[in-house]
Order: sequence, then C-alpha cells, then structure tokens
Amino acid sequence: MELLLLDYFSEVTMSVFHDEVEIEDFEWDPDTESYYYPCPCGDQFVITLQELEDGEEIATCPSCSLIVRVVYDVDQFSHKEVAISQTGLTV
Amino acid sequence: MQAILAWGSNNHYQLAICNQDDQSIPHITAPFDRTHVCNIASIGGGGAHTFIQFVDGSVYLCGWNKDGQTAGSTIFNDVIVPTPVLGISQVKRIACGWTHTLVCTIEGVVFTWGSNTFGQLGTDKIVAYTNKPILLDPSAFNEEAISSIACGMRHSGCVSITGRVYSWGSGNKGQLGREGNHAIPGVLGVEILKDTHIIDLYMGNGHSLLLSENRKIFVCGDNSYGQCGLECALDKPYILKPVKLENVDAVVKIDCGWQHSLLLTEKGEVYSWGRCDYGQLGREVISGKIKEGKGTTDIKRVGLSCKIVDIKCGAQHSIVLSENSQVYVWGWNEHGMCGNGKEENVHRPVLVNIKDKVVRIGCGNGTSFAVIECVL
Repeated sequence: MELLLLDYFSEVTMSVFHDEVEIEDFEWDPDTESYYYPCPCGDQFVITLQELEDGEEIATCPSCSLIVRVVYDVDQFSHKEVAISQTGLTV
Repeated sequence: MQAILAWGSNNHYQLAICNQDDQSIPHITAPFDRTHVCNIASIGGGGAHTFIQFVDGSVYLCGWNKDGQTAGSTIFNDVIVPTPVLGISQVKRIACGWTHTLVCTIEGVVFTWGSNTFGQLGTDKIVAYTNKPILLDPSAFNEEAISSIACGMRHSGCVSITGRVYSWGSGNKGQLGREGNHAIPGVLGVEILKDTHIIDLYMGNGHSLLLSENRKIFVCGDNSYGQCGLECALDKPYILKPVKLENVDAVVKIDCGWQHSLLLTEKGEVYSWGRCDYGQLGREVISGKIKEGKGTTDIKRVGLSCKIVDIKCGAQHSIVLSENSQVYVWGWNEHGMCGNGKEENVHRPVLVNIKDKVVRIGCGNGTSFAVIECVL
C-alpha cells in the first residue's frame, strides 16, 4: 500500500515539472551566485546557491510557468557538510 | 517586396519589433537598415536571438547578446534592431544554438561566435564567449568545403561536400554521435559515421538527426522522450552512435525541436515523434511508457489536408508551410508561439491568420516567423 502511494505520488509530482535536470547541466554564475539552465521560452531556469544549500530542488523561470526539478546531492551543498570539511582539516 | 511577420517570446527583442512584449498574433517587424526588404533566404533563431539571411549572402541578427551570440558590438546588451555581422558575407547556411551561432559560406568555410562554455564554437582558441566571428581552420575538416551546418542547444556540427560529418560541443547525452562528455573550450570537431554519405544535419536540445544521400535518417543522442524514434531501455536513453531509422524513406526535410522531431516526405506529408505533452507532435499519441506518456518513439503522420513544402521546429512547437502558402502551427503556446491569439497549448495543426502569401517560415526556441510577399 505504501509503495503504491509512493508510486502515485512520484507520478503526480513528476507531471508538474517541465523536466528533471542534473545540477551538472546548469551553468554557474559567480556574480549572482546562481545556477542557470535554458528554458524553452528563451529565458532561463534559475536556482540560487542559497536555495540549494537549503535543500530546495525547484528551479523557476522568471518569464513563464515552467519549472524544473534540480537533481543534485544535497549533502554537497549543505552548510553542515561545508562546516565538517572545514573543521576536518584541523583534526 | 517582402515583409517579416513575427510572434511568440520576446524577452530579449528577438521578434525584431523594437519592444519586449510577447506577441500571440503575427506582428510585422520594425524597419531596419535595408531600404527594400526582399529576397530573404531564411529566418530563424536560437535561445533568444534571431537571424535573417538574405539571398545575397548577408545576415542580420538581433536579440539576446549575453555571450555575443548576435555578434553585436556590446556584449550583454540586447540588439534591438537587426544588424549585419561585420566581416561576414556570402553566407550559405546559418544556424543558432541556445547562445551561439554558426554560418557556412558559399566558399565552404565555417565561422562561429557566441558562447563557448561547452566548446560549441569548435575552435582551439580558449575563449568562454566571443562576439567576433571565428574562422574554423579547414584542416579540421580535411581541407574540404563545408556545405551545411547545425546547432543544437550546446552542440554543433557540419557536413562537407563529400558527405563527411563532424560534431563538437556538449556530448554528455550522445548528441555528438560518439562517446562524449560536457566538453570544454578548445576542442575541435571530430568526424563521425565515416561509412555513410550525409548531406544535411539538424540538432535539438540533446539529440541529432542526420540526412543521408539516399534520403534515410540517422539518429543519435538523448532519446528520453523518444525523440530519436528508437525503442531503447528507459534507464539508458542515450544513443551514442548514429543509428539508421529503418522504416523511414523518401525524406526531403527534417528538423529537431528540443525533444521532438519532424520529417517531411517527397509527397509533402509530415511525420512527428518524441515529446508530446504540450502538443508538439500535432497528432494523437497513444499514451506509452516513456516519461509517463510525455513522449513516443512512434513516427506517425500529422493530419494535414494539404501538401506541405517546409517544416520547422521551435523548442516546444512546430510550424509548417503548405503548397498554397499557408502556415500551420501547433505545440506549446504560453508565449503565443502558435499565433492564434491564445495561450493554451495547441494539440492539432491550426491555420495562422495571415492574408498575404507566405514564402518562408522559421523558428527560434520560443518564436515563429513568416516571410510574406506584399505589394508596395
């Protein structure tokens, strides 16, 4: 039952996204500290570094209704991970 | 005398109408520095930039210039009025990717400009972007003249007069027809499919279609929405080497949307396959397993009652020109790409209301164009 519900849930959620895009396919802009991926309308899907660090996975396009799900490893972007790796140097 | 009608997305002035408002019905473009607009050979565009190619071989560009893709003199500033590219003439073919542009000349040399983040300019110069056209060294193409070029979102390719094919740029989905990765600036084109005579090529977001001398189609790249027209494992949707489509014959034209594909046969019939959730295919699709029914590998005919003479794909919409000079459009319509004054997606071909005779059609990612013959 749980599995069936999960299946149903993933189908419903997938259908609202224009696509699922891996973070490696995004382009990083250091000036805005954001990641960008082309939107078919001619604008760009954007997600900020801060949003990724907070676990956000939806990139939006400022010009239209389309959204994409960003596929990434939250651990690589979390504050906790950065803190651990920084303190790790002194251990 | 000719004029250009434009409609669709316009966030970077890509409709050449001197404002940034989307247009959901055909809108005549603003005047630019050609006293008599006539003899337009082709029109189209990339992510948010637009080209107009004239029969005399000159090209004019406008729109988004973030990476110099319009060759506009001030990088980052949108080019509002179509402007000729300095030092470029005798253009035979022009194509635009997301943020880059390629031309090949009548002499058979290739120039590229715009973004090079993924190596899509095919030059050994290490630049991230440029608004100055770069001449590609003919030695990269075995010193042969180039007869056609194509741009995908972040990849590029060309075909020589003897039928050799070269590809470069982003290759992480097999779109280069060979093993590849994200690529980096500074990498030259590599020849693929050496045993087949190819005469033309077209590229989408992550897939590529090659047209052979005997009118067969070869496909490679991302097939996750069925855009390559081949059955393959859903968990391995990338086709890394060009494969021939067996059930397709007598093809005269092809084009790629971002995730869908169109072909035109000798008889003037249009067939579509790939992504279908916004109506991109213009026909009924039996819901399949691909992406919860969002795509199909079935190559099936689009219901059009007249003979079609040209086909073009936008990112998520399609446009065709009939023998009697009428324009039909279907697909994604949020920004008015279908030209019917509405925003709802269009799942079957609709006639665009244009009273003049249309002689050319074209598309950018979110734009549609028609060149009309008009009386002074």
